[in-house]
Amino acid sequence: MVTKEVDVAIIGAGSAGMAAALRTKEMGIDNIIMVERAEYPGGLLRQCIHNGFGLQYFKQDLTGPEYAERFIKKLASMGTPICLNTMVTHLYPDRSIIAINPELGEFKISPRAVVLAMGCRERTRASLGIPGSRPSGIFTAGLAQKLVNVDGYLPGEEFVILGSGDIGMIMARRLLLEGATVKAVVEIMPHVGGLIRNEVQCLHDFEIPLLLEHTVIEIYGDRRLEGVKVARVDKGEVVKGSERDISCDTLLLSVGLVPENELSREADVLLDDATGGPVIDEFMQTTIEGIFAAGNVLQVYDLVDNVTLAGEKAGENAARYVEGTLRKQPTEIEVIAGENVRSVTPHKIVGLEGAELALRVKQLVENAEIVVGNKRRRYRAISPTEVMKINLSPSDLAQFWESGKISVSCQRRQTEEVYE
Amino acid sequence: MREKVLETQVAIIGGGIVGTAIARELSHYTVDTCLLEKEPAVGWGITKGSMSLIHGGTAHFGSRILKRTDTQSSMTLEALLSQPLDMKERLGQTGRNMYFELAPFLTATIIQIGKIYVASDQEQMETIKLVKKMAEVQGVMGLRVLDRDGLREEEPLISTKFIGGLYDPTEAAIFAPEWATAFAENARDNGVHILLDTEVTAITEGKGCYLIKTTHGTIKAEFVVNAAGLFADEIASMVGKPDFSMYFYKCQMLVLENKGYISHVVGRLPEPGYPKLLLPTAHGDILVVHTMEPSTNKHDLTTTKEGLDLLSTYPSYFIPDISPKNDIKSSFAGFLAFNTKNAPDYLVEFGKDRFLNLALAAPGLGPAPALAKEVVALLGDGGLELTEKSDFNPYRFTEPRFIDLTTEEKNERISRNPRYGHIICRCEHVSEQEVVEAVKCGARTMDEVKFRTRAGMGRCQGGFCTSRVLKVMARELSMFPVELTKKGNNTPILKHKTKELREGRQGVAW
Repeated sequence: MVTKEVDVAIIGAGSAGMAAALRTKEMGIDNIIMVERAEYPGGLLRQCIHNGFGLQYFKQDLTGPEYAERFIKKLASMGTPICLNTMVTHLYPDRSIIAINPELGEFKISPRAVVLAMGCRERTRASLGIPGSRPSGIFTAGLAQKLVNVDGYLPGEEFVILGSGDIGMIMARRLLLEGATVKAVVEIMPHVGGLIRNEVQCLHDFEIPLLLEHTVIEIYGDRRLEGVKVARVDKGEVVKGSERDISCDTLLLSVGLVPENELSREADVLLDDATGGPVIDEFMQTTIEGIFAAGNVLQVYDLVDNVTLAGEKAGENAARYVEGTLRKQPTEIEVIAGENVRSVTPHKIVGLEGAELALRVKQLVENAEIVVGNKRRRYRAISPTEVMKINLSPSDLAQFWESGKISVSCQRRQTEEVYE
Repeated sequence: MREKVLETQVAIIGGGIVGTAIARELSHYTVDTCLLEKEPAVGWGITKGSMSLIHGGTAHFGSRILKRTDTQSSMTLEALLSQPLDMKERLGQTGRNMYFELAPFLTATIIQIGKIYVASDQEQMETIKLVKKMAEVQGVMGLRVLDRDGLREEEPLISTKFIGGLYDPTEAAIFAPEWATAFAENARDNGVHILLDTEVTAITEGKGCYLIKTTHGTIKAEFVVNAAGLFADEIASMVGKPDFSMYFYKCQMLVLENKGYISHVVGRLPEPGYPKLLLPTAHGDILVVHTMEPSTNKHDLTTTKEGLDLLSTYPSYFIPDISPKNDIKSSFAGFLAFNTKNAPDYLVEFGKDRFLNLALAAPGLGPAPALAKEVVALLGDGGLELTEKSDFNPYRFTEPRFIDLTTEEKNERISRNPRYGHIICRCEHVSEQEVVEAVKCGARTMDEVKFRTRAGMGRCQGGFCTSRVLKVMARELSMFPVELTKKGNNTPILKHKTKELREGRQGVAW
């Protein structure tokens, strides 16, 4: 078996992996390897042919492929090869990796540091437990997006979309432009699951019906899907008498993403139930030394720009780990998700360089205030669909080393003040 | 133009585990045999929706105890357990051994997982001890009574409410459609005609023969074996009013990811109202078994909210660590069917001369190979001349799963054919070449590829591999992707090429 000894191995060449590889290179670490299971780099960006990427990172409005292209070109110009069509089948706690591809066969990678950038997968019908028959014509929205945008096929003619995640709303518009009918986007929450801009630009602008506080409770059709039963939902319960059938030949599911951490688990990396991703410190290092994580494998992000930034941070720290310049304190500060905070990363702070917290709230709060230790930041509103970031300087953290704990909460402000 | 008629000595109606096992058994002899199956592949009826479990030597006691409770029989437990084996129970014991004997010849998977009956009180422990004693009288080997510690040694995550159990090592997991395919392919290699997509619509009696009208022409057969499973009563009624009908229950099941939760089948001795079983499948998942609802619609395999809600309470009864919400991969429904005449035993008899009805009763899977032998003997008694072939080929070869090979074997294959190195299913690690092989073996639908390779059976349920599998299938079958189906007629996966619909509708939608 071929063994590749490298300084840094990056698993996944999507937005997080490419950013990590570039930054590692920029840090002067040359001996790196990127492995990617798909036939091309860029991950999901390649099928996201709509615009809206890079507004923060590049201050430009790009499509997914354009955004990816910038990184692919830069990687190429720096002479960083990407092992495509390469499936990592094992990752062990000693950081060794087993992978398979058509050129090298099954081979081993012995890296000094690893960056996990496997991304996430879509939740399926099974995890929602929608009863009914099992016909053809049920797809996750991301799969449908690949079929339409990359492969060039329409999976159906009359669609119902369950869930208003970003991919679902974007697909609603895409399908309509393809001449298909989108009968409804059905969302169980009182608000859409994705970004407000997508609600406006993909649904309202195209007059696609949005059924809030509704869900699909049954699936019909023995062969091809024939229809779904939808009903209003109030406090988690189906409202009796509100059920109605919608005929359709295709149901798309845009009901959430799950970080893909099977390899992390095999490597004994500790996972956080709230994010579905590894427990990390502010250097993006997991509980296994030398294994870093970035992007949607860590937590599901809202914008690709944030994924890129996380990837850069992981790449930078993996490089520093290899160089031996990553300095940890003997003690750590645990970051605790307090009131109305669904998840927060990093989970602990171990160094003296400050930290950037990324959090998601549980419920929409208007006139909101995020409180971290002694620091308060004010916002007009915070929605669970956004990832909020708070920067903590070393001095913000100084007084928490003694207790070893810092709590983050999000609440409604008592007084009306200016917001940021 | 006169319709072409295919002539054969024996026509087996139904390509489930029983029909295919009979086809293979008959192919030992110089008998012209046709197997008729209405689905695009064998094993897609009751077989596919079964638990894929080969019951252990003690399992029939469970059914007897349950029946005693149901009928409120006054018979003592000991008397009940010591009753002689009926046909189904007897065939179950020999059938199980046959699976193990056949596995290396057919390269089909069987995993001896064993079963643990757990007990939560002393009374149940006593029953368990009695079951062990009576099973040993019947020749079941290897049974062990487990105390609290012994139980935890076998199943470390089991709920603390269980004080012990009975370990029956003879229970085994298979993947039933794989075995039906193996039987059918071995039969085919020995001369049996396997006719798929062929539904029987009418049967008439001719002179010393039966004329079987199907959706693909007429078959003239001297002997008919009615192995139509759930539809056995309907097939029998095509030649006269049968003295039995089939009644059945719809059984909903959940498939969970097995994150090391259990390694044996775990269940209670049957008692109404208690969760039944958790079983590790041959694919490494957990099957949560099952609801049981009387049904009258043979095509209704829908799951229900009530069913799924109930099932999701089962796992934590045994293993508190399991969270169905996080671990669920899939859900489906199957049938448990029985005949009205002999239930709970089988009914295997000639309804007419040379027309053998198999009106079975659950379970049919474990006994199938033994039943097949018995059916062939019955056909011999009924006048079929059985001359053993000298050149019977007992082997049916399939490549082992690529991912399970050693590094050397993998790399040898990849250097021969790089498509082995292209893994296109991220969850089950299936290579492109395995999909190619599945198509070469006859898979024409996505579900067939899934059953043969496991591509699409994993956590993401096809999210990653669907588009890749479609591409390989289209290439290998020389078909357009829009022609490919999930499971045969009227189950297309793709409807149009992009732009087709828009351009076709110009002026209407836009």
